[in-house]
Amino acid sequence: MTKMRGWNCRKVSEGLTLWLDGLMDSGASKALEVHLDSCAACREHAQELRQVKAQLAKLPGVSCRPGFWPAVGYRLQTEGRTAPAPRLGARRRLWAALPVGLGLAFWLLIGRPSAPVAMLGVRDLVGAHAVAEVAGPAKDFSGLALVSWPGPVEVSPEHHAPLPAPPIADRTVTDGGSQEKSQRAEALLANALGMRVSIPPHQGTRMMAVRDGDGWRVGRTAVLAYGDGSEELLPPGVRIGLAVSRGTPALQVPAPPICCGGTHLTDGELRNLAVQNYRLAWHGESKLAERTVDCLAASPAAKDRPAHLLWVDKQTGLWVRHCRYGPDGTLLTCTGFEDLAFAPTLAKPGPPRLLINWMCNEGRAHSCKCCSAAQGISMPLGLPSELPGGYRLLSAAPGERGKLRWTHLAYTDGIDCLSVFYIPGASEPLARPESATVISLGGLRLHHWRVGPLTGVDWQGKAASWAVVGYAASDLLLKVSQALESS
Amino acid sequence: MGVAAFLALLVRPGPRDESDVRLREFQELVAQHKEQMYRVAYRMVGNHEDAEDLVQDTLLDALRAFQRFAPGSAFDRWIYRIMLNNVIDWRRRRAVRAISLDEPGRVGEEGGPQEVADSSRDPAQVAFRDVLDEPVEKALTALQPDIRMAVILRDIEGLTYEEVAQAMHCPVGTVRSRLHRGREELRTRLASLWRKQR
Repeated sequence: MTKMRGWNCRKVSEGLTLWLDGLMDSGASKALEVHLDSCAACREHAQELRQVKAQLAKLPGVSCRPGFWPAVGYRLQTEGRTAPAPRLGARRRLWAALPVGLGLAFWLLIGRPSAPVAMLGVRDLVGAHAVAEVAGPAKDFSGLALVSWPGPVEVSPEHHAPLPAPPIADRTVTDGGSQEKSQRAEALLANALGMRVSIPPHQGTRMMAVRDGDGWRVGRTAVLAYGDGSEELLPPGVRIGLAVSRGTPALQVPAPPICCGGTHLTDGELRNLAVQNYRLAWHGESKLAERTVDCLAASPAAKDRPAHLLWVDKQTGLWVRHCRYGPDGTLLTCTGFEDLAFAPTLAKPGPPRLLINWMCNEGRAHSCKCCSAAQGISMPLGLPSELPGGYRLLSAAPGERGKLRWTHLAYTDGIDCLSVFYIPGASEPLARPESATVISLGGLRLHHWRVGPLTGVDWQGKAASWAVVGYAASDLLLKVSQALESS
Repeated sequence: MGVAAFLALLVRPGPRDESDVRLREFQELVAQHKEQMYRVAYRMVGNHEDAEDLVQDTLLDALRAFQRFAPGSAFDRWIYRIMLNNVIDWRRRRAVRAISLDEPGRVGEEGGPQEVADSSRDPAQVAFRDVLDEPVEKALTALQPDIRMAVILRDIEGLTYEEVAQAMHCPVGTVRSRLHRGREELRTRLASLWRKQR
């Protein structure tokens, strides 16, 4: 770059912002333009800045997720009025108690059954209670959860390899916490299950959560102390958990919420409700558009949290209607399916049907008449409800970001989870390269990516793309994914 | 959710007092600006989870400080100022924050168990990370908060320099300098990508 008469490159560079915004006076503007005419480097510089501005201006619009503003309303109503005026600055802790919690408890089930067993139905969850703690090294998130279920339940401890078997007696629960927490867990089990268990405290256990720019990271320095006086340091990356079993084989929980993001009431959120001390009550069976559904009511312990009513399809386990109510009985949101005739076709191939997921956010109590703002998505049906390896369809839910829309189908065998994403209108495979990288994800490992080969034609004859993502505790999932592709 | 329903949520039944009147004023102002507010929050943090977090924190702070808000002045700019403070505050506190989960207590209370959300567990986010994260959005979230706010308000939301200065509580010259730095940083990050595409 050479020094030009009038303005040099440096001065031009400093003036480009004002010039691009049309805020430079005419004399300066003219001098700058004279320089641009004769300096290719500055011209390119200006062009790139113009491109930056143009790209910023055409960023897609952003809308909040359904249910967000009601949650804000409650928070403002219940906390904003009573608290003292702060200095200008965040009070981050307020957020920690949001009613719509994200996944907290990892339900670490120990021991894979030798054969698939019946999954826990929604009725089995009624009265379920949970005490959850989280722990784990910085990047390999893991959890410790104590889960109790009504009915005859055996609780047995087990550690994942490579920890040696703990020197504790059978029918004893290990709990990674303090004396008080152990006693709480004991009392909980005694009350909920009518069984007496001994839960020795792990003295010296410290579980630390660290929040950084990417979200929560959980770290731990843990010394586990057992009943016989022995101790061990828990190495990083090791999951500890509790087996929850009903006789043999171990009782399966439909899916760990890790698989499904806690967004579906039949899995993650239902459990979140339990974790957040919601009381679940079964309101009997009913018919909803010719489907037999279980009606569940979830009442909050805290007055400022919404109550939920859920209708869960008995056959598929999919929730078909979910309504949230405020403390005064006002209907906040209601979500459901208009066409409930989809379920029978899940198990066997048949003519494709359209499933419309609707959202109703402005209805009044116990009615939902204001669905003009329905957000419709479509998904192809005739999908298999089971995949090789005992994977069952757990949930189907829409997702979108920017221009891309997809339907997320979650399959699980109770431990591993296979996510299939259907992306209508995508004629090209997603641009993610196939990778053998194993990514640690919440204690499970992401074993498998395979996107490209699943591009094809959807049931309407249009181009579509499929992505398969597996979260696996074992290599079994890899085989399932491959089988899915070849089919 | 519509404005009416949102407002209804904030109305407490029973006799009204002065705080009710103020609350109603606040509700109306929030309802007018909530979409833009959410948009700016989203651009500041780059994802819905944190944007929701940021909007809630900001509105709570704003409600508590509402008596200091001058009626008739620009509510949105006042909110953005609080929002920017919150973002800076988050950033500082997120650098190192350790909470013991070992002591029993109510979830959400200081010192009690914390609800730990790890957004990387969402399969959709993992699956579509590379596809969805627009380079310009990535580059934007990499900017310093005060620079990012200036760029968002000016280049995305279309505020004037003077309005951005009011929102950021700084002189117009500072806005100009932040915009200059922000655009230059974005250009540096994006230019190599554009050159590859050519």
